[in-house]
Amino acid sequence: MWRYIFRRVLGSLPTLFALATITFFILRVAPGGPFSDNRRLTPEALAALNRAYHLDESLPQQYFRYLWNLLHFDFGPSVKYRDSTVGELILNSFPVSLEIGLWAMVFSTLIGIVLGIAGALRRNGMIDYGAGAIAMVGLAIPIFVIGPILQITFGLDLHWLPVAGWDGTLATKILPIAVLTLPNIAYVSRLMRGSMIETIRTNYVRTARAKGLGERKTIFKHALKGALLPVVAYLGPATAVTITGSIAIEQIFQIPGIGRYFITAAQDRDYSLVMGVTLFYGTIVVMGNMLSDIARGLIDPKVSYD
Amino acid sequence: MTDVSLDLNPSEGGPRPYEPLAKGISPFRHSLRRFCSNRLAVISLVVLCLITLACYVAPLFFPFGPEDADFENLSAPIDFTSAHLFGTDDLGRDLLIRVLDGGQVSLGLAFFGAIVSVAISVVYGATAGYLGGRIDQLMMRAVDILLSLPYVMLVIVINVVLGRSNFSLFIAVVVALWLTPAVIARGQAVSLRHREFIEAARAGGMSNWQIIWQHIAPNSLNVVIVYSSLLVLEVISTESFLSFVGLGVQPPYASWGTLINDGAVKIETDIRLLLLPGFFLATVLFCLNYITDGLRDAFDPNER
Repeated sequence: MWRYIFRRVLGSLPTLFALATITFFILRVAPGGPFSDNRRLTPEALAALNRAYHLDESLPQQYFRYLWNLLHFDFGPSVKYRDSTVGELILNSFPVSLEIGLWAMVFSTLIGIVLGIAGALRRNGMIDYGAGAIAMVGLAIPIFVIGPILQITFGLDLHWLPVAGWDGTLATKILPIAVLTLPNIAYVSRLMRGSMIETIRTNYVRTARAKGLGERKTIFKHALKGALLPVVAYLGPATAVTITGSIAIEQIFQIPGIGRYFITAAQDRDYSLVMGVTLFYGTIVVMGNMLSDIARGLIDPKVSYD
Repeated sequence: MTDVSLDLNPSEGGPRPYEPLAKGISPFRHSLRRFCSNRLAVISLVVLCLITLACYVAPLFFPFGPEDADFENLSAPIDFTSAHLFGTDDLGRDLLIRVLDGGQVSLGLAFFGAIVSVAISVVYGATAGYLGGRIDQLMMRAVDILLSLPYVMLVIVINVVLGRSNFSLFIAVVVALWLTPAVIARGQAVSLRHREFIEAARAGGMSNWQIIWQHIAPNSLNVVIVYSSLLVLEVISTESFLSFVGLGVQPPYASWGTLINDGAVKIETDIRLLLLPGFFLATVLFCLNYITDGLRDAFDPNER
C-alpha cells in the first residue's frame, strides 16, 4: 500500500515536470510580456524591471532558474501584485476555494448516491423520473445562469441571504455551495444509477438473494460496494476540478478564492502567477486521481496495487 | 470488399444461407433506425435545428441589427405586437435579435469546433492505432501528457499566447477537446488492425496511408460520431463559460456567454437580459444531452 502510494507520487513527477516545461515555453514564445502594455515606462526603467525579474536572461537560463526555484517550492514574485509572492497569493486564496469546493462535493456525492440508488431500485418510478429531471436541470443549466437567478430570488426578493460577498459567516456560504453542488448531483446520480442497475444484475448479487438475505442487506452490504466503484473513480478528478474550478462561482458571488487569479493572471501576462496557478492546479488534479485509485483499491480487492 | 459490412456485424452474416441476407440493412442504417425510434432524441434534434435556423435566418427579417439602438423605445417591455418582440435593453437594442445574433457565434463555434476536433482526432488516432509500435506509444504519450493538463488551464494559456480573439478561442477549444476522441479512435483502430479486410487491403498493395484513410478512419468514425455530439455540448459550455468570465468571445462580437455575463451584472434592473440568453443556452444544452444519449444508445456497439 505505502509502496504503491510512493510509486504513484514518483510517477506523477514527470507529468508535473512536463506541465511546468510546456507552460514555461508556451508563455515565453508568446509575443509581448508583462510590461509591454505599459507605455509610460522609459527604456531604462523597462530594462531595470526586466533585470529585476530576470527577464533579460537567455531562455535556458530563465528555465533552469525557474526549475531550481520550484524545487525549493518557490514560485517567484508576482509581477502584478508587487507586494506578494505567487506562493503567498495561492496560500491566501486557496483555503476559501477549498472550503466551498469540499462542501459542494460532500453534499453532491451524498445526494447523488441516494438519488442514484433510489432511481436504480425503482426504475421508471416517481423517484427515478424526479432524479432524472434534477440531473437534466443540473447538466443543462450552466452554473452562471443558476447563480444569478438564485441571487435574485433569495437575495434581492426574499432577503433571506446576502446577494454576494464573503465574510466567513454561514450565510455567505450557502448560495455558492448550493450552486456548485447542483451540477455534481447530476453527474453522480447518473453514474450511480447506471452502475447500480448493472451491479444488481451480477451473479454475486443474485447469490446473495438466493442465500435468503433481505433486500436491504443485499443492496447496502453487497451491491453498494461494487456499484460505488465508478463513482469513486469519478470523484477524485471531479473534486480537484471543483475545488479549483469554481472560477465562475467566485466571480458571481465575489468570493476571494483562487479562481480569480486564473483569469487576472492570464489577462495581465503575469508569467509567474500563471505558471504557479497552473502547476498548483495540475498537482491537485494528479492528487485527486491518485486518491481515487487508492480508494478504489480499498473497496475492490480485484484492483491490485501492482 | 462488399463483405465489409457483414464483417462488422457477425450476427447478420452467420451461416444462414437461405434467409434474405441481401435485404439486410447496413450497420449504419440499422443504428440510424434505432436513433429515429428514440422519440426524445428526435424531438431534441428538431428543436436544435429550429433554434439554429432561427439564429441564422430570423435576423434577416427584422429591419434592425443587434447593435442598432432604438431611442424611441428604451427598455421596452415584452410586447409581441410591436416590432421588438421581447423588448429592448436600456440602450434601445432589441433583445431577441441580440440573443439570436449571439447564438450565431455560439453555435457556429460549437459545430465548427466539434467538426474540426473530430477530424483531427480520427486521423491522429487512426494513424497511431494502425501503425502501432513505437510510433503509437510516442503519439499516445503526447496525448496523455496533454490530457493530464487541466483543460480549462490549457484553454486559458493558449488564449493568452495567441492573443484574445475569436480565432484563438476557436484554436484553444479545438486543442483542448480533440484529445479524448483521439484516444477512442485509436482504440478502435487497434482492434481493426488485424482484421482480414485490412490484411487483404495490404496484400492488394495499398500503402499505409491509403489504408488509414480509406479503411481505418471510416470504420473508427462510428464510435466517434457518438462522441462528437458530446463535443458540441462541451464546446458550447466551454465557450459560454470562458465568455462569461471574460476570456472568450471579445467585443464587438457577442455570444450567449457574454450576453449572460452582461445580464448577470444588470439583474437588478432588467432580469430579461439574463433569462433570455440563459433560456436559449439551457435549451440547446438540454437538446444536446438527449441527442447524445440517443446517439450512444443507437451507435455504441457495446449497447447492442
